[in-house]
Parts: sequence; C-alpha cells; structure tokens
Amino acid sequence: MTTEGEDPLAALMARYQAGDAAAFDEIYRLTADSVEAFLRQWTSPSAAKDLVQETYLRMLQARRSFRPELPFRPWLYSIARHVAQDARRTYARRWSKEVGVDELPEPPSPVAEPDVLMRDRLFAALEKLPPDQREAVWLSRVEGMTSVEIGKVVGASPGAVKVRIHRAGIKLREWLGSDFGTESEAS
Amino acid sequence: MSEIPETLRAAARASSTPVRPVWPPAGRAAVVLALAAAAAAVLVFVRGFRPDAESLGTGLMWFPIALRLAAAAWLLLLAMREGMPGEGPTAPVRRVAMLCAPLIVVLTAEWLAQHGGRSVGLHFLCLRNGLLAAAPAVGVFAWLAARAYPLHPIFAGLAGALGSGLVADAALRLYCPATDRLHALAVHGGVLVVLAIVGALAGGFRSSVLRR
Repeated sequence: MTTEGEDPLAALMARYQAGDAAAFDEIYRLTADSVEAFLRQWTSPSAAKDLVQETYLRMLQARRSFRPELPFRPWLYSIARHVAQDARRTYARRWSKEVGVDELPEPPSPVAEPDVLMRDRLFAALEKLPPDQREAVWLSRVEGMTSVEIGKVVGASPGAVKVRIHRAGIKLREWLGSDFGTESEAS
Repeated sequence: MSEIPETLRAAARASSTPVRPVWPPAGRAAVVLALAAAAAAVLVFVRGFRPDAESLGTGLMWFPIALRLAAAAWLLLLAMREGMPGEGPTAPVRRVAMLCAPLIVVLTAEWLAQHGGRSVGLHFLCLRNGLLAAAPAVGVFAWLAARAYPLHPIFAGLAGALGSGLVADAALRLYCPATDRLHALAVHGGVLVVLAIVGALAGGFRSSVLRR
C-alpha cells in the first residue's frame, strides 16, 4: 500500500534516474525475489529465473518512463507481466505449465507466513484458479497491493480486480475451508 | 535476497547516466494537441473558411469540430499514458478508443451529407493537406513516445496518429466545401487511415526493437 512520497522503492528509482548506479542494485535486492515469484504465475520456475533478468533489463530501458511521485511496484510489475506475456507468446510450446507443489513460488515476506502445510495447500489451490484471478489474488495477498495498484499491473479497473478477487475468494474458501480467512479482497 | 547477476549489473552501470523522467501524460498530450491545433489553424488561415459555413449553421459547422478536438485530446492522453507502464488504459478502453475516430468521421460525414450541398468526390488535395497539417504533431508525438516506454506500442502509435489526424481532419472540415460522403470518407477519412497505418507500423517496429 504505497502512498505518495512514502515509497522507498520510488525514491531508489529516482536516485537511479539521477545517475546513482548503486540504487539499481538495491532495487534488485529488494524486489528480485518477489518478481521471480510473480513471474512463476505464468512460467516454469527455470524460465522465471531467465525472465527476471529480462524484466530488469527492460526496466533499464524504461527508466525514463517512471515518475517518482507514482508507486514503484505497479510500474515494475506491469513490465514484468509484459515480459512474461511476450515470453509466453514466443515460447508457449516449449514451456510446460505443469508445476508441482515443490516448484511453486516461495512467498516473499510482506504477509505473515502460514504454516508450511497450509502454504502448500494454498499454492495448490491457487494453481487451480483461472490465471486472471490467480494473479489478482497473488498480488493482493502475497504482494499486499491495493485493487488500484493491481489494476495498474494487470490493465483492469479496480472494480474488475475486486470482482476477480471476490470470485477467487469464494473458490478458495470452498477448497480450503475457513483456513483461507475472509480478508481476500484488496482494499 | 537475490544477488544481482554480473551482466545485469554491467547493464545497469552502462545505463546509469542521469535521465529526466517523462512529463506527466496530460502535459505531453497538451504539447502534441497544441501543435496539431496550430498546424490546423495555419491550414484554415491559408485556405479560408468553407463558403457554405453560414448555411451549415453553428451546430453542423462547429459541433463536429468540437467532437474531433475532444476525441483527439482523449486519444493523445491515452497514447501518452500508455507510455508509462502501469498507467496505461485498460483493454476495454483501448478498444473503445480505436473505434472512436472512425465512428466520429462516419457519423459526421453522414450528418453533413444529409444537409446536401457540393459534391467533390475523389479530389485528393485534401489528403495531402491533411497529412501535411498532421505531420508536425505526429513527429513530436513520435519523439515523445520514443522517450517513454509503451507496453502496447501499436496501440500508442495508433492512438497518437489518430489523435493528431483528427485535429487535421477538423481543419479539412473547416475549409473544404465538400458535403458528399465519398469525399468525406475516402479523402478526409483517408488522412486518418494513412496516419493509422503509419502509427501502427511505427509501433510494431518499436515493439520488435524492444524484444530483440
């Protein structure tokens, strides 16, 4: 939940735009794991590793297009999503999307870690969701983004994002029981 | 915490020359719109107002112009927003945007044709004039778009070209005395078609360059 002027990643990006190369290293350190986990929504784990690098290379190309008063993560994740979609179009036949529970993404830190068993169940259930609902839930629950921020990443209105999360929440509650909780909707 | 790969670190060092962030989308769109309007005004100044302006009445004369300018401003704003990842329009908005320029041209051509008047047919001077009037705005738009990072470059190219083209089309409508559908659609509409093709090709080229 980024608010204007409080986004440390946006401040780092502003430093990079101003010529501070070390700021890029810091951005990478703080975001690469999350970006990789996000990319695994569309690809195999090995492909996601390659796409992380491609995402940051494109971020370098796109560096002028970031305005520091805007939140950083929707900007970065929309580039990552685009990289994944490009790659999917190019390599669709090569990738098998049969991802086992062991290969499923590790959740990054922003939310409280559920126990391992619950996590595996949650990720297995996420895999069964339609892609648009899965990424909305991922960005909401794992990345902690608001529906406005998610809408920016996925190119949908905040209302459409809320509907996706709501529908996904109904399914997840059905599959996981009350363990999934009730706070499935982004603000 | 991931270690940054050496190739990426080197690329980051190579790209670390200071850059100025792009202006806000509304500011960039306003620049292109102002330039397009200035070129259109010059065209109308040189050619003079259409002789049947009075008989058309205020509504038929000026409403289509206002509609074109409003649509042009919207399209240019969308094109500029598209240049900032995470700020681009949603897919439904992109679809509506692509329909709005042809709809405006067709509907207002039909409205004018019902008024009756002078039939000019395929007189292609308007095509040349329209393209010349749109060229400066298209050029500046291309420069601004190249400095940004459109995730859907073909849409950005189309929207920018159509936005600039609608302003030029407004100028054609202000000076050209033709009221027939053939001229309005094939020649005036042709300006938009040519610009749309150029915009889409430029966007496609940009897309392929970025993917290499």
